[in-house]
Amino acid sequence: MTATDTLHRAGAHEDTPRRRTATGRRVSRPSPLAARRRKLFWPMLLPAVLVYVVFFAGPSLFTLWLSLNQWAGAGPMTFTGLDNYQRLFQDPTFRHSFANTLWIILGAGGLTFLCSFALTMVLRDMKGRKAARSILFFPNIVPSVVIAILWGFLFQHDGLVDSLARAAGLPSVNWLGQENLFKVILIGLVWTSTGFYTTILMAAVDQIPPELYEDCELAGANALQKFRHVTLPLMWEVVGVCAVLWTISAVKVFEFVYAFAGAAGQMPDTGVWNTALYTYGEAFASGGVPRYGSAAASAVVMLALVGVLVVLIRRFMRRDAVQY
Amino acid sequence: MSAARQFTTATEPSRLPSRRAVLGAMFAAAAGLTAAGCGSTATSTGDGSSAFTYWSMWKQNEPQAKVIQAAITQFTKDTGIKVSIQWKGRQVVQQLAPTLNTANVPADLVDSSDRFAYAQLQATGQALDLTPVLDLSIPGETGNTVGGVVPAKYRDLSTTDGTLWQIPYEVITTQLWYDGHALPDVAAEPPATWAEFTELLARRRAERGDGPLALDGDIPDYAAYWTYYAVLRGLGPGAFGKAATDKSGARLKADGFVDALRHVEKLVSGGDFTKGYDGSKWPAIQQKWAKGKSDFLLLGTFAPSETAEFATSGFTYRSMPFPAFTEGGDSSQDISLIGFSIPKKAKNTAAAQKFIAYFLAKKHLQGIATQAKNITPRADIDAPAELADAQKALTEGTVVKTLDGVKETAAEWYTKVFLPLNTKFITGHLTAKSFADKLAHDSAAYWKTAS
Repeated sequence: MTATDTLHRAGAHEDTPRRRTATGRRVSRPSPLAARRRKLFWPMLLPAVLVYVVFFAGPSLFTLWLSLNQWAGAGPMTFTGLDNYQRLFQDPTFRHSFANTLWIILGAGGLTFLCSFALTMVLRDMKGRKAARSILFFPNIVPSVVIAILWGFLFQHDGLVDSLARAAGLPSVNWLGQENLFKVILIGLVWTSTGFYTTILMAAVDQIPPELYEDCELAGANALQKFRHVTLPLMWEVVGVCAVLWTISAVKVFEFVYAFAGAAGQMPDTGVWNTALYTYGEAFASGGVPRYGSAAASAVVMLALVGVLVVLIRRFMRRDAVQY
Repeated sequence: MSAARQFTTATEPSRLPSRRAVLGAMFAAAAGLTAAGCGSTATSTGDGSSAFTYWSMWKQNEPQAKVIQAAITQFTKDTGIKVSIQWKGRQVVQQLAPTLNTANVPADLVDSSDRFAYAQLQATGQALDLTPVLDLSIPGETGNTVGGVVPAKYRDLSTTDGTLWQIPYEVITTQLWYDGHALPDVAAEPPATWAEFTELLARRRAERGDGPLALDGDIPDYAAYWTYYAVLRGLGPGAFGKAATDKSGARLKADGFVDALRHVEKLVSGGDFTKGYDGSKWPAIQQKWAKGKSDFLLLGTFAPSETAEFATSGFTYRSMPFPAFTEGGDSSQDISLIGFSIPKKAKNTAAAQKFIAYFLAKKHLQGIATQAKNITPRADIDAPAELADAQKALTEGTVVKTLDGVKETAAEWYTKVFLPLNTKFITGHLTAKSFADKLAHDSAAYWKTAS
């Protein structure tokens, strides 16, 4: 029940005087407060609804319509039905981009959560954990474009990573080579995201009563057992929310890939494209005639992917809430 | 049930429209507003307006912007026509595109790279034919017209089906750049053929202990220049473009095409490219080149301005064309152009056209050479010293649209099919034969589904 529900029900009993009609039927007459509320209902709601409809719902519907057309952004728009979708799934570049998106969601996401859980275990008992948390959160504050550019210079030939590897006697790896570029992007995404999710998970861990951990100590549980039997079950709901947040943001990952792998105003190699870059590439066509229909179809597929994954995550994460 | 719904049903029936009706109307209005940009059919006429709006691809602090701004100020003084200039940056035509279908196109004049003008204006039927501008007199130059000062070989590259969709004011070409101070012998007598060039490379490689060719391989276009020029020299102008659009892919694996690719393959396998070219972040390699870490850089005429601040003391910019494969073989220069276009539905076309003619006057246009350090289309404006070799090549030789124009006419093929394979080839992961075979196969598959 919402707060307004409660208000209304209370108002129905307390504010509204009742009277009988000639036929004896009881009718409600709105109180002055309720009448004023009614008058203000649409004036108060309209701006928000208008903004939502014009800037979100309208463009979304237009995107859906656009995905059924062929359009260069100017000139005539030709209705093509589901052709854009058919062509999308026949396009090896889209299929590869889609696979990369799944790699980001599941691969980078899995690694991010693994690191976050590990850090959660370590940080819980650590002195100065607030400072450590801030440091971990730092990559999330810095714009990912900046991090992506620095990341590129770190990993390039003769860069810091290369120099350190050579100093340690390790074999040189061509990190920015076409064959390794996407792997480095995945590592970069894990690095920039881990602090954010660790911070959220740590906030949940802070709410867990310390006596439960004291009980574990008495029972001789190690850190992993404490995590498995106390921490994880008691922050399960928060993990679920984090998983949804990650899925939504992972599908939209754009600037890190674009800034890290692209340069001189050019799109990166298609081997590192995800669906977001594919959509951008279609719309702006790397200098050719734009394909807004195809770009819109790709955007709709992204939206559908988010929808499906969020529903699956919610179903998978559904548990009875643990009371404590 | 929502709070709002309960609230309304608890009160008297209202004369206000139902929420469903209101929301429905608003959705319809929003959809209408959103789609409005696609439905306009209004047209405009060119008139003798006293003002026009100009959207530029430059940012206000760039040298080109300063040259254009000075010309605008003088133009207003001389003609009384006010110019509202907006420095939009490189995405200027993309920003303009959503308005082109409406009755209120906000720009009467726009400048951009030729491929963007083609894709967003000409290919969508939104470019005004500028052919009448060719007859306009150049103010202050008796007897000179726009058509007289902009050579036909440039205009032809901006003409499609009889429509002149752009009039250029800056020309970019690709050359092999080197330090004339460090390589005086090359400056005195540049290699004219491929054999002389590879002999020079072998010598320099032995002296350096590293490949003498600089290439930022993470920029797919830069790697593509090598392949494109090899095909251009091997098969002549237009061959690359024809192969690109060959629906069967057969031209891409024909003997001549593979032979041309083998010239590049030998450079890769022979270690002629400098270490790290396949694993660096642009502009690392071109900056290292300017510091003398390698000898030759295949890049556009923007190379000197991009690398000057990193160049070693005494660095003398010299350049030479990509060598002909045989003596007397193809030596044409690829070019891309930057110039003016006018949207078809612009309102003040006459004033905008007048400015084009005004800016092409030598006294205004030469700022592009002297201040912005670039080549102009006018042969009587000397390029800056560092671009003198490139201008000479343009003046003396034939010109061809860079990459045979595939970035405009087959952009999707170029981006999705050609570039990824080409990067594999240039970085040594494919031989010339396997590259050609795979390119042919993937191209045929692409053209089957391409719209």
